Amino acid sequence: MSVLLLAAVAIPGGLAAFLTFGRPRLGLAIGSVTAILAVAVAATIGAQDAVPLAGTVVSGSDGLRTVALTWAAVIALLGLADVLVGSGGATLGPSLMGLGTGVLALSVADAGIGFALLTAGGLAAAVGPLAWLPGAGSDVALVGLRLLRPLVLAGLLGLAAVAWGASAVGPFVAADPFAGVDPALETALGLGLLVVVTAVIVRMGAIPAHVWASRLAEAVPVAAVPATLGWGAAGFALVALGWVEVTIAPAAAPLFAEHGLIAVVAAASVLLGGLAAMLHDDLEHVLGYSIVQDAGIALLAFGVIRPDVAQAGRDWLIGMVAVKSGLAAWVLVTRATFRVRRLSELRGWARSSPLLALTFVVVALGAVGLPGMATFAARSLLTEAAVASPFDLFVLAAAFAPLVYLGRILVVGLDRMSDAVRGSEGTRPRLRGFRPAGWTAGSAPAVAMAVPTAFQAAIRANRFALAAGSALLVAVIGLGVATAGLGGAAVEQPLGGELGVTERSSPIDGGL
Amino acid sequence: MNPALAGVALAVTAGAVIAASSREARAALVGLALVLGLGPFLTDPLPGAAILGARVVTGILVVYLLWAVAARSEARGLGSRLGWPAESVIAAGVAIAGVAMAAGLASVTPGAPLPGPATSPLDALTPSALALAAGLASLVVGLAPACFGGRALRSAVGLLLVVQGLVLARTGLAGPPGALEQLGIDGLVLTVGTSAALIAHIERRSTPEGERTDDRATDAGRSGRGDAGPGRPDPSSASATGR
Repeated sequence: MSVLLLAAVAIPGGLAAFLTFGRPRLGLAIGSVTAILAVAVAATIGAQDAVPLAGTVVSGSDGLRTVALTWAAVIALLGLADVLVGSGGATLGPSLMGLGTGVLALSVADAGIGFALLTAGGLAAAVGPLAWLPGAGSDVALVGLRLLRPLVLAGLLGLAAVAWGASAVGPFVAADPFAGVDPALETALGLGLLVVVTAVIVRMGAIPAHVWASRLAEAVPVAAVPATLGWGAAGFALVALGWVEVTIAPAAAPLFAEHGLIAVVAAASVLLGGLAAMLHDDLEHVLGYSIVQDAGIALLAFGVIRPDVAQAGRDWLIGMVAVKSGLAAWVLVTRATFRVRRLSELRGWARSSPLLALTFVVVALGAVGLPGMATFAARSLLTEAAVASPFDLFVLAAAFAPLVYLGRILVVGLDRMSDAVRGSEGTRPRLRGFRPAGWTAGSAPAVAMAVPTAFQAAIRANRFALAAGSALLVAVIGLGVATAGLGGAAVEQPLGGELGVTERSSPIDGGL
Repeated sequence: MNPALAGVALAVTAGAVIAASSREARAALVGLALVLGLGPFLTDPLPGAAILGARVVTGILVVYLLWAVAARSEARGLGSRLGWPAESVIAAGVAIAGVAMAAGLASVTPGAPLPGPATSPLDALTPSALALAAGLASLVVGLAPACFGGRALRSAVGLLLVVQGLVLARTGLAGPPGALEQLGIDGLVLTVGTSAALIAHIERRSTPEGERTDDRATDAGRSGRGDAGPGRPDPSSASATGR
């Protein structure tokens, strides 16, 4: 029931926040209340939640709670930072709509529902914030069209694969469990796998479909990037992974050529995404291409169809999305604090703002990983299982590119301060100067009347410090999720058996 | 053959051709309304009244939103360069291919009755065949505007034709979607239409009346544009109290 409640809170609340953003106070109030409620409801999702709804089962699980709670908390904290120093909260409503549809999509076994809902949520999260960009003109409309097409294309490819899988020529009907794999069916299985992986490539912005992701990172407010390229795309990949486990895996077809092709594309994303993140100078592109590189590693989960590899893919997807949400929060606050976007102008940022430096170190720790962390083990397993030796070592080495591109940013931050950094307000808390004149001599009602004004002034003066604190919290959450993963949620957990509706579990828990 | 379903399939296909080829916004949106409003009826058995109502109302709402954006000024960039006769021929050819595909699928379905020797060609027009035929026709005529439409309204029409076409093709291939999947599709259509209407609104309020409007001009402008994104909000203007 809690999953449905979350959807019932987040979708209408997000829509209301989006529609009322023209009146910022009202829109922000609705968005803030909805975000807090979403966090509270997400925390109550449990493995016992299973509600029959319109012919299927909406079911919760421990893994889904981890995803929903992290996603909701990131939206709330990023929304706070965005309100304080970013676009003023324009991303809050669309991100909440994406959360509601995404969690609902991950709670049902039917991949068709998942693809449709995640595409709808992704569109809302990506296009919504464009409406409130100040001075949005024809260039913004063009960007919107360029975001619309790949998102819809990915969803339609996913729906087409699901339609094939359920048709008379799909594996459920055409496969003969006692006669091995028919060559024609093997070809069809390979094509089905490639179609779904193509959908994932487009949706996640992996190379060669990375152009739209790069444009998104530079065009929309930074706070909208995790909602679109991160959480929504990860949900899409999770649904695709579940579909592959249920539709392709049971046929036990070898599919060597298809797996090889997927491994090549994934390796290209890992290598070139990391390289692009190293070469680019502006923070938004570093963020965008680091996500492209993560998408490449996630694609390796489709290169071998094995339960342990699929689970590693899930751990990687959720952990990295959480970590990159922290990086997005850092980019948002850093860019707003120093009012520059290029690394060459950010010399000394870490010396100027220790809070941001701490945030960045936490993000870097999560992105690079340490032995014992779920994402570290997942990355090793994915490269080892999907890429032939000795090339797996090259891909694994390239996957450590965050050491270079994040290390470069940190080194620049420890350098002598640039003029832009020196002239910025910084993120140090300011505790003086908010008390109204005549405070001690004033009457109690007068003091009471002055408190809200002083409070607002204190928030305004400390907005960069508060935003940096939000970013630090997002980074810490990301590090925690990257360390713990989904907590081994890939156990076989068939749902709906008693209800007789479906024999599959949700994409979070694995399809087998 | 069910004559009512055949009529619906014909109306959906004709609507797709009109939507993709008309240069008038009003006619294009009427065609789109036919596709989105009648498409949900192209299944056997019909979904429940609530689901059917939701799908039809969503289709009308989407068309209304696009109409609200396009109504106050001349819609630009609409219309196919091939013209409606060519689009009709393409749609008819694809629809015939869809019927043939459906017949092929029916023959490989386990437990399907074998066709008798005296079957009429019209017997091939089963509900699945009609859905697949209309769906593929809508999908194919919508591809060009969806992929290459330089203007938001034309892209919106194309994308909605492709989405509805794929949903119909899915119905023809794998049977009618379940109720929750119908609602998911409903949400997808609504979001695609709303997003496109939003983009069309942004485009319309920023385009001077005298600007060149054909797709070629738009594409040329697009290719000449650098990688720089649109203006991001100035962080310095943001404050704790709003934008």
